Amino acid sequence: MRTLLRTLSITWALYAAAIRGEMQYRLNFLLLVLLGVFYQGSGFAFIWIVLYQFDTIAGWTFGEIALLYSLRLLAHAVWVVPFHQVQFLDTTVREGRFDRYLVRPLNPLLQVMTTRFQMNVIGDVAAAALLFTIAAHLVDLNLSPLTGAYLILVVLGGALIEGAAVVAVSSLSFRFVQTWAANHLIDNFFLLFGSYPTTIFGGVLNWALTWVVPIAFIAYIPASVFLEKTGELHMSAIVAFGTPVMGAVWFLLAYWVWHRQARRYHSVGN
Amino acid sequence: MRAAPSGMDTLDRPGRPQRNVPAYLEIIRGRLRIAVTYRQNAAFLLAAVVMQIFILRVVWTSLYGETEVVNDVNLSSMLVYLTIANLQNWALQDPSVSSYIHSRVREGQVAFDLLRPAGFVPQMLAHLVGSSLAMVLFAVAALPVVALAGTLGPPVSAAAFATWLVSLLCAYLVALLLNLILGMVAFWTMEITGIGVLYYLVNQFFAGALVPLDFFPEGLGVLARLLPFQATTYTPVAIYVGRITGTDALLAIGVQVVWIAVLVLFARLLWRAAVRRVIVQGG
Repeated sequence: MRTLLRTLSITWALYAAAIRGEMQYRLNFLLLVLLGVFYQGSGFAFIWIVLYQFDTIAGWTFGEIALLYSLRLLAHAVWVVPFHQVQFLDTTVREGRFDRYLVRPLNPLLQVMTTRFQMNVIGDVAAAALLFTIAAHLVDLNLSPLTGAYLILVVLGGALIEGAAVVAVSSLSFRFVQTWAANHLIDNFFLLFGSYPTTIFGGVLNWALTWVVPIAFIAYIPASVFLEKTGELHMSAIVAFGTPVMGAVWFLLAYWVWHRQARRYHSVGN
Repeated sequence: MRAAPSGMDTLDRPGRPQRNVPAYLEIIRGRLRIAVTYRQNAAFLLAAVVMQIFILRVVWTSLYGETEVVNDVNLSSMLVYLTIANLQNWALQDPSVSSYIHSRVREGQVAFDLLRPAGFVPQMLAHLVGSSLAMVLFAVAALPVVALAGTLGPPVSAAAFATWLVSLLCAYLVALLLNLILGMVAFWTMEITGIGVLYYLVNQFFAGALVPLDFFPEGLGVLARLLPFQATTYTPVAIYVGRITGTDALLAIGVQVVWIAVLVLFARLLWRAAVRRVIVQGG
């Protein structure tokens, strides 16, 4: 217990230092936050335009899709704030900086996470919160303490699902020189497949997106629960509450992969 | 050190510009070698585009549902449009060149680029041509996969094919100029990654790669038609699938030509201002 507290306090101190470093450039800070909002908002602009012309996607109205989309954004924001730096592990390894992390008395993954703090993630959080508020208004969603607790669990679970994929892919940095393009692909994968009711993909793909790469658990299934659409799901209603479990399982699996790959690390210098 | 005014005339260096052609060819060759070395990265980036094409196919198919024709466009022609538009939009421009210019400026190596007998702007154009050549080769190699993920189809007529080729060339020139201008922004700001991402998003959206321009709501549609991005993607692909025909097609190509002229002028003005701003750190 004491070691855990100590680890947490060191991690927090490192984050605080990273944030202080970033605040040196105030204009850049503001621009990056705006960029974050714009980046996340632009994906939604597509949905807004097509639903201006057509009424529904797979029977989901604009407000309902907005809720689904905002749940994915919330999960993304929650994972990206602490974990964003993991995506840049390849540069750390290539420049030989990973050696330092190995000799310090803190878990190397935590050290990677706290290397920098890129301010555009604040924009991600702002965009997610804004869209969720609008969507909740559009579909008349009233949060009771119970649904509020469910929301928190679902967002945490979703964050772990997406974070697991990024941690696993980044761990390939220990073997390959560059992985940023693979990370770009993963980013897009979650953005593209996670923003719609997965039923539109039909059959095998729908099944795979539920059980193999559980993207459906991030936004589609929780949104169905909120909108009382669970009758449309291809599973029993209880499984629909499985997002936090899925997230935990996936993340532990990814951490295990990371740990195994890190053991293969060879320093680039000598 | 201020790299003026000797670098100034590099844009309009008098004499025989063709004597530098071997140098430009060498830059293009270098870009191709870079592309081959980092082919894994290109494969991942292309995979993201193929994924986007697939998603657009699924989403638009779902949107159409039982309806056969929306806004005078039937589903299959829409899917061909989306597939070609996304592939073309990806292949014709490479964001890595603007970040290359940025790193040259930030690290001061731009001084060497400016001192070379070949002009700086033609050098950068050669970089852009080389990288897009490589990307077109990757895109062509990926056509079988693209056909599986999206929908490929022949142009609606021989005339459409011929017009498309002309329009595609104009589209490429517009894209080239836009990317050159994007690269020149490096002379004003030390941070260009954000601007690059912003450009990518705005361009993709207003070029009509996700939604054809005729499906935009009124106000947004007017805005899209006033911006240069539609000339890079919407115009040629709409001609290919027969959305724009006859005199309208010629008119659309005319608009592309106007954009080329405007952007050339703008790039020249920008370059004149940029070269006065060059401050090489350290010196």
